[in-house]
Amino acid sequence: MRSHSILFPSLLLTAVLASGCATKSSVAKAKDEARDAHRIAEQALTTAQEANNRSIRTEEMVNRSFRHSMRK
Amino acid sequence: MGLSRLRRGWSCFALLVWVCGVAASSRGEEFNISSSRRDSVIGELRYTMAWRGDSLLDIARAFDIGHDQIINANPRLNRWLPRVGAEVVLPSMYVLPPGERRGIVLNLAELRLYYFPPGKKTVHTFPVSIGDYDWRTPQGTTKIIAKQVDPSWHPPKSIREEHAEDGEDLPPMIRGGDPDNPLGHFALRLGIPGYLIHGTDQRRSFGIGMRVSHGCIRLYPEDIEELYAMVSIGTPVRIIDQPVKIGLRDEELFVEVHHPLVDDEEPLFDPPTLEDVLRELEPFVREGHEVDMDRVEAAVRLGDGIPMSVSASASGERYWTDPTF
Repeated sequence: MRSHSILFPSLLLTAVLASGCATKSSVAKAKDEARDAHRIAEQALTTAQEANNRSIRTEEMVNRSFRHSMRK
Repeated sequence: MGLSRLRRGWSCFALLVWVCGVAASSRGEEFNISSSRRDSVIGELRYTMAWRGDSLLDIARAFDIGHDQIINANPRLNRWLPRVGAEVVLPSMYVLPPGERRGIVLNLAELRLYYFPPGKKTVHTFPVSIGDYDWRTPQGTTKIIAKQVDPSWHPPKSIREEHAEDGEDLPPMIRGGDPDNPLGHFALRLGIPGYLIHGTDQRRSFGIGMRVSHGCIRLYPEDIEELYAMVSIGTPVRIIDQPVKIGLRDEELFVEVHHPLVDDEEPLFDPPTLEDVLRELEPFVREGHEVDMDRVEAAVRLGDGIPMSVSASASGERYWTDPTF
């Protein structure tokens, strides 16, 4: 009966510590994943901006060509 | 279900607007002029919807509007592929050019020609192409000295050399009636040697309303046909360059400001400044007209060629082409 009363808080403490460590590790993992996601998003944004710039340049080229073709 | 009915209704309405526009495309725009000499604003803004496969240039042609004019009025739309269903502004509202309302008046800054038939209280107006940076259309007063159906084109040496630089062999003469004749089917010869008001061939017919000619004044084929029928030899022609026009309608004051199109490689003029506009407004202010300065500044900043009411008492909304408004 006495040994039971000691064992229970010990188990509880072990469980809490284990759970705490697991939570810490999850947070670190989540942070790493967020950093990766952020990096990928920045790369995607840069690619999109490059594509947009290319598209604008293409449209300007089309506009200039059209203007030129309208000359007599 | 309600939504689909609404869509069907809107589609029918848009189709009706479009059909009306296409039906009107065979003629330039004619407006009655108020008997009051002071009133000088004609027309209204109109709207249509972009249809699948339409470019802004198709819409401009259908509604007798010029290339630069429709692009300046719709800066948020892609000129080649406007979003299907997008609202397109048709800027068919104009302040009449200053000076005598007689014969032909061509305002270079707005790429538009006005014709005041003798003895009538009407004005016809058409978009035009004019000379570009290297081939400016001259300003001044002249008259129509000859009319010609199916004119032949004898390109001068300078133009042939220009084409040769682009690797294009331009013949010394293109016969009248030839589908590739850039003069089209009708020409009005001006008293200024070498300058014509003429039509165009099909290939260049979507380039009306631009600064692209070698100094001649070029109209849509259907517009030159109409103008040719109305104009007689001896008709006076006044060519002006007025990027700022001020007008009244029922004592409401309007300002129309034209900027050169941003994709003009070498703009022919600097955009008008606030000082330019205030100078033009001064006589009206001295008469007692109260002006809303925010609206004047907006008109100067937009420079889209759409008349903007600047009266302090103005209550009507206008279509803001600038998304920051």
